[in-house]
Amino acid sequence: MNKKIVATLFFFLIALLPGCGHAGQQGHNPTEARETRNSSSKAFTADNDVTAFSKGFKLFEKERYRKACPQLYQYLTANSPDDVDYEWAAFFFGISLEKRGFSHAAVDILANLVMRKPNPKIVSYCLELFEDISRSGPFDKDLVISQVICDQEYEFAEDKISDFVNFHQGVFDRERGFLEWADDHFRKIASGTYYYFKYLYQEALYRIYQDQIDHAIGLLEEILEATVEAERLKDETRRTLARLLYEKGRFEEADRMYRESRESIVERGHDLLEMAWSQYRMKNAEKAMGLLYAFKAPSFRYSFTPEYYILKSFIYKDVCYYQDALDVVYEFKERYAGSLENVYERGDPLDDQDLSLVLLNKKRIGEIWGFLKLLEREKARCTEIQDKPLRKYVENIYALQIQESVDYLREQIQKEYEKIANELLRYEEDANLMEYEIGLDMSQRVYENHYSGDVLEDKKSEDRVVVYPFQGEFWNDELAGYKVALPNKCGCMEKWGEFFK
Amino acid sequence: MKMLYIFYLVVVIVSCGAKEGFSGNPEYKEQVTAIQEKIFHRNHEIGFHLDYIPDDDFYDVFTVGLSYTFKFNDYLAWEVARGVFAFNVEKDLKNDLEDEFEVTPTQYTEPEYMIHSHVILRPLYGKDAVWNRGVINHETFLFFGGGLVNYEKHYSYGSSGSENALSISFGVGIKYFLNDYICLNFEIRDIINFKDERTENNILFGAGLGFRFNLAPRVTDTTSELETLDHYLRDEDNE
Repeated sequence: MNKKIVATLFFFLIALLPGCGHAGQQGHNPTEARETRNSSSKAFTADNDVTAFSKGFKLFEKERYRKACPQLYQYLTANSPDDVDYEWAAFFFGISLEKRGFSHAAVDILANLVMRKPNPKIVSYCLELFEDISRSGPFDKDLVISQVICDQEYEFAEDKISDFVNFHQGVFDRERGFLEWADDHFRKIASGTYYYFKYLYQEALYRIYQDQIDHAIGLLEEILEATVEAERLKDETRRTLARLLYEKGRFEEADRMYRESRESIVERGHDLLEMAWSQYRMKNAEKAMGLLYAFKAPSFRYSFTPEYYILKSFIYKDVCYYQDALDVVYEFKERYAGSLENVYERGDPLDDQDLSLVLLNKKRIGEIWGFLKLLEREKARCTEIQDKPLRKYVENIYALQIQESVDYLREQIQKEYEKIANELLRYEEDANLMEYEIGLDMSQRVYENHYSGDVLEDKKSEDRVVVYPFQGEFWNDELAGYKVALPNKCGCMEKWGEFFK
Repeated sequence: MKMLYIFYLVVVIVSCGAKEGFSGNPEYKEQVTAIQEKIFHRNHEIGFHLDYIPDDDFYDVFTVGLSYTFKFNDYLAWEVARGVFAFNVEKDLKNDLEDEFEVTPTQYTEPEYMIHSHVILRPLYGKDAVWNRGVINHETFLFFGGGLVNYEKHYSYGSSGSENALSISFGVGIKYFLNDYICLNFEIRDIINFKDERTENNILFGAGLGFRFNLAPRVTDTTSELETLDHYLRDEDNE
């Protein structure tokens, strides 16, 4: 009896053990249970994240981007890219950041999203944003143009976006010598659009490179006749056309081109110097000198080049202000003495502040500089982000990009320094030559005046009511209109006496 | 009240009427300004003032005073303190009352000194050709502030006393820059004094000379940008 009871209890206990016997099999399948637990826990997390996503989306819809950002970021950190809403969340997150003024962070997030090839709708929206950003200010060109636009295919893109993509891919291919591919891309750009005229500009540059100047001038003139709204492109075109016209000796047309530019004169430092050259070649010494005065304004500090001194001494020499001409030569030597010494001693480019300023005027370096300023500005705004993890994430994006851009800036400065150092040496040679020419010119004029017996009258400067001394205060509306009184002193011998003592 | 309207009108004209600086092409987002660097900007100004208050009941009030002003930037300044002492010339009113009507005011006040402090807005800056023979730069400014006015109280029936009244002061002025350091100031002010008996409103016409100076060289954009560049290129954190 006892044995029976013990046996019954034993079987009963065994039957109760999980996975053993019929009762166990019927009650809880462990695999199912684990799955259920996992799924329930996942469901719990997903519920939370879905809430974060839907909250973020709702806030995004209501244009409350400040509050949408942390929600969307929370969702993105808690989910993997495989999640069904992940791409949209990243998209809304990027757009929200852009709306809050973090344009680089937005570009960074959206560019990475596009490179993962999400659904075409998202890509189209992102490309539209990139197109907009590329026309409005500094941005990460390497990331957007080289990696996103030119390294992917976007056959589904339509209209403006297709033109945007084809234009950049065409330029990219042409720069690398894939001319047929480039032409294929350019052919796809719709005629009469903004990017068509951008393409024409690239084509004109290519023609200049091939020494087909007249063809290039024709293309540039076609751009200027376009009715499409593209002021910046047209200004760039005017500048290039003006340079070509100058080289062809059509100075008046070149000057007109510079003056037709819609861009503020304050932003066109280098144009001012070129305008001065045009005026000088048109024999308008007073106007040319006026433009050189304007060129000393603080806003042109990055456009300043040693060429300024050469032109100024030319002008003074032509109206026989020999002492002034020599002073300008000495001024050049004094200002760049440190730079020249640094060049001769093959010193560190970074020790040379004067040339550093000139380097900032170089197109590529200027672009990086502008981009760095934008990064610093936007990074400073990170303090406005209340959510700590989000703030850290955005700050990190900026810190990394600043680091990368600074490295690139350093590299470019080293590269450009060699060129600018050579230019400076050439200017030094020009200055020495100018010094010699001034001396020679003086001797020749003394000789001519002495033996000709004619008494030369001072050439009167253009009649004016009153001449004001320049105060040194630069009013932007006056910059292009300065004129310096420079009556010709070539017939005035007493001025030269001091040179022959 | 009329002065308040005038003041308000000037503020509205200045803040709304000015066209954006040179070349406001919307496609270019660069900040544009009319003048690149005002050559007459100085951070500190010590002023010497001669003023006249014509509308006090019993006195023609002439004041002499000193002030110190700190300029934060091209647009905003703070007149830290302006102290003036009054030299008063009695008007005929009191004598007329006594002689013709045989009445005398039981009490009346005579301003002694005033101390004020003002916030100064400097929205307008320009230059004039003087008889087409030369150029003079000028600046128009608005100011608003408060302070204290001290009066000597005269009684017809006893010895004099003293009274301090809180005061609000606002107005408009123009400054002509004679050279890098000296400027000529003209201003018109409304002073509202909260006296024990009543609130009194006075108009003040002022003229003065200002001595302007900087204690340190002006920091230009070039300096700061070169510093930033230097930081980028040299800072070990960036390497």
